[in-house]
Amino acid sequence: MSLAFERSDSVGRAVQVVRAGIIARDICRRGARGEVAAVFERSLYWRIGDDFICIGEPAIGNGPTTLIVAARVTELGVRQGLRAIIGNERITIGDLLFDFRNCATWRTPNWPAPLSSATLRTTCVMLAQRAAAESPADSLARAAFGDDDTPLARIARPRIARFASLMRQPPASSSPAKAGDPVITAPSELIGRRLLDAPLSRGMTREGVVHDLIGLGYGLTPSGDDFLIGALTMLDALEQTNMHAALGHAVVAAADRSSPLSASFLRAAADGHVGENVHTMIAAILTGDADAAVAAAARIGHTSGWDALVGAVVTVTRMSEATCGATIPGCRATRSSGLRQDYRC
Amino acid sequence: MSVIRNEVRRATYLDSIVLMRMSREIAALAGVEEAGLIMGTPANKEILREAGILGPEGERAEAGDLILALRTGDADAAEAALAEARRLLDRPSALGAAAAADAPRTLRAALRELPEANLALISVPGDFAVAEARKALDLGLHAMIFSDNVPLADEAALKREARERSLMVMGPDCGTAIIAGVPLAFANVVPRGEIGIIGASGTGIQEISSLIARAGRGVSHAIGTGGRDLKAEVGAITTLMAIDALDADAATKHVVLVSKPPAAEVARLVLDRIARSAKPFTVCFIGSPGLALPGNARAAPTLKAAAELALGSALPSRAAALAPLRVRGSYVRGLFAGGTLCSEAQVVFAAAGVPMASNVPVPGAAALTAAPAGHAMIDLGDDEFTRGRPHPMIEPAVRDAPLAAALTDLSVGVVLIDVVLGYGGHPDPAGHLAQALGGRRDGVAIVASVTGTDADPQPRREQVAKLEAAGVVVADSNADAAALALTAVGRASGRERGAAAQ
Repeated sequence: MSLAFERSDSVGRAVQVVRAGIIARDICRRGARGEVAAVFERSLYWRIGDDFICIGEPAIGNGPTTLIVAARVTELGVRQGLRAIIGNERITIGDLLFDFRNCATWRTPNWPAPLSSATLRTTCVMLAQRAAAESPADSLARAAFGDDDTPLARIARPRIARFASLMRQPPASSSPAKAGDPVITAPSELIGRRLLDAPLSRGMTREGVVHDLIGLGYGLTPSGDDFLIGALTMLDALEQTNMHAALGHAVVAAADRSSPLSASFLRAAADGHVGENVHTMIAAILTGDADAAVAAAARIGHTSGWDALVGAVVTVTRMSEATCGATIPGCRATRSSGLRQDYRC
Repeated sequence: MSVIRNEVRRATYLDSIVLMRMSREIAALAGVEEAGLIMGTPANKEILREAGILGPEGERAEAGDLILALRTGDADAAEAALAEARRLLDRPSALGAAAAADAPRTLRAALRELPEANLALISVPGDFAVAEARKALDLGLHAMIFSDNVPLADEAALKREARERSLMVMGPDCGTAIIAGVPLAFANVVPRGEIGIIGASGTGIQEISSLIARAGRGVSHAIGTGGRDLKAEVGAITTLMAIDALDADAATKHVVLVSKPPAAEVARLVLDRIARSAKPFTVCFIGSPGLALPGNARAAPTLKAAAELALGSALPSRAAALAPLRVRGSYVRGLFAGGTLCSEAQVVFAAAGVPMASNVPVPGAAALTAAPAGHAMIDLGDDEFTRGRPHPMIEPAVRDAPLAAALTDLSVGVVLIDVVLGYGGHPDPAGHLAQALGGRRDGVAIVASVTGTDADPQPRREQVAKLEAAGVVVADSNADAAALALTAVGRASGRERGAAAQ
């Protein structure tokens, strides 16, 4: 069993970087200067301009902006404000030298093929019900699907509704959704009952909808940001390239309305990069495993996982409703194949 | 007239869980009507405005700043609350600074500061725990390994190495011990006495030692072994060493052994060793079908029964004196912080012939693989709930979501809860539970047990009072709580009441 860190002859203590997320690796290769912005129990954040790199223990999980190290963060003695320099594939923070020459690179894994659109919608109904009952009281999930009357819920509910309407905007050729199909209508009824089912008002743009959600809510990463990351990730997983790009563009344009740290996560998600815990959650939704999706959501931060789950559920529900409303009567893909195919048909 | 105060911390990032906990603590301060601790984004300023607590300073905050906002009834209360809130906010950095500056960085350095120490408590990520334990053994120290996620083969090897040096390894995943009156990790303040405890289970030790203390008796030592010591791969190395130690300890007159059911060949090893002792033993292999015990040992099916056998007398129970509970549903949903307390509740149900499911089923219980239905006993301290999150004994909010789900489940008549006090635990678990319950009941009775003593950092008497004020029915023991829950949902028969009385 190797020790957490060893003495280096030239510079203080050497710490081996085990894995580097793809964005973190790119930043490190460019070389940069920055300073430690935050130190938590199992991770620390290093700010380089608008970018952040997370240096953390294996238990925090891989991420695009994360360097996983074989050391205990509490024993590194790093404090906020310390200067950090990258050069020669090494990062120097105080007397610590993080060596990432031999580390593996981590990328967001590929997405599994989704099950049928009906299964996906049924999973979303279950997830909405469970989010309403099981998510923490201060989550956006409660605001979206619960009955809470909190300042956050009062502000967030109509904004999520407007986002849902944005996702529901049907293709030009679509016809109304098929009434009375319980599989189709159940999710939207659930969402509609909880939210003001507000159509996009004249002049309400995608940018405006995103603008209202970014930076909204409690926690290190505001809940609205997590919601948008969930939505972006679901669009990416469903290969909705144009919608993902459009939403991503709006998110990046408004990212400076959130904290710089959270904005860096939003930009990564807009580029299709999310951490492995979010990937696990979205993959579980795609494969119809509601229990696994809830378990993954509960592992991400305090409310972040639940908030991202709501973004994904609202997105897939409204998209499937809009698209399948257009395609169900004659669409061969709808009944038997995945949602990706639904959107192509 | 209400007073609003805002304070802005520039470019301050706190972990979300810490932020939420602090936010709750600040909101609960005396005189505070409304409070928020939130990043200063434009959208969040709207939330604070909506809540009526945004002041001019908060208005000037930037997106990367942290806003502390509160409203109180008068200026004095505002200043007092703000001062306390500042103390809470400064606490983590102060602790961190102290840890970085003053705490010894190695076991060797720690031993230089305290040369008479003979035990190292190791709480590091599992990947590093074995290396640290070996260092402790090299320094001649017994080791208590709080860490989990240590491979079983490493545990066995480490314990063999320790035995060769006549040193004991408690753990890995050893959450509780009381050595010579000193509570280690999650443990309660109990008087010294003549009853020794050996436990593969943290909350099992806590419940038994607390029941003994509340009966006016005491504990000589409580030695934790780790949850896997009685597996065949480990061969009960620590359990056998602990029996040797308590056998040789003149102050120990009676030994209680508590564990999950062991492997058959390991059970034989342990029982053979017990047979060679001149001292009386109580054996509680919780959930185990009957084992042939030596003449100096008696079997206890529950933790409460183990305490009673060690005490030599029955414990008082108020269960019979409590008014009948009126409930809407037919099923009991157990939401436990303690794994062994969860097992004990299952044993009570099984003894009554009532089927139930659990995510940590004892023999006879079904495995809970999907959403709970029927009687369900859930150990919220199990890995599936705690991976990357605090244990519910540290952060009782882990129970909030399953509790909310149970309260809205029409099939549920009783929610069964354990509140575990002592060192290492949350400072006010009962207060949190009362707040989480709010006014919500909807025909669901909440039945709780409170493991601990009045000498604990969270005095039991005060915790019980908070629960009762919130309408929670508090039983005298976890076994009593399970029996009471069972009775309340109308499943109790004469046989069940007999089981409850054990």
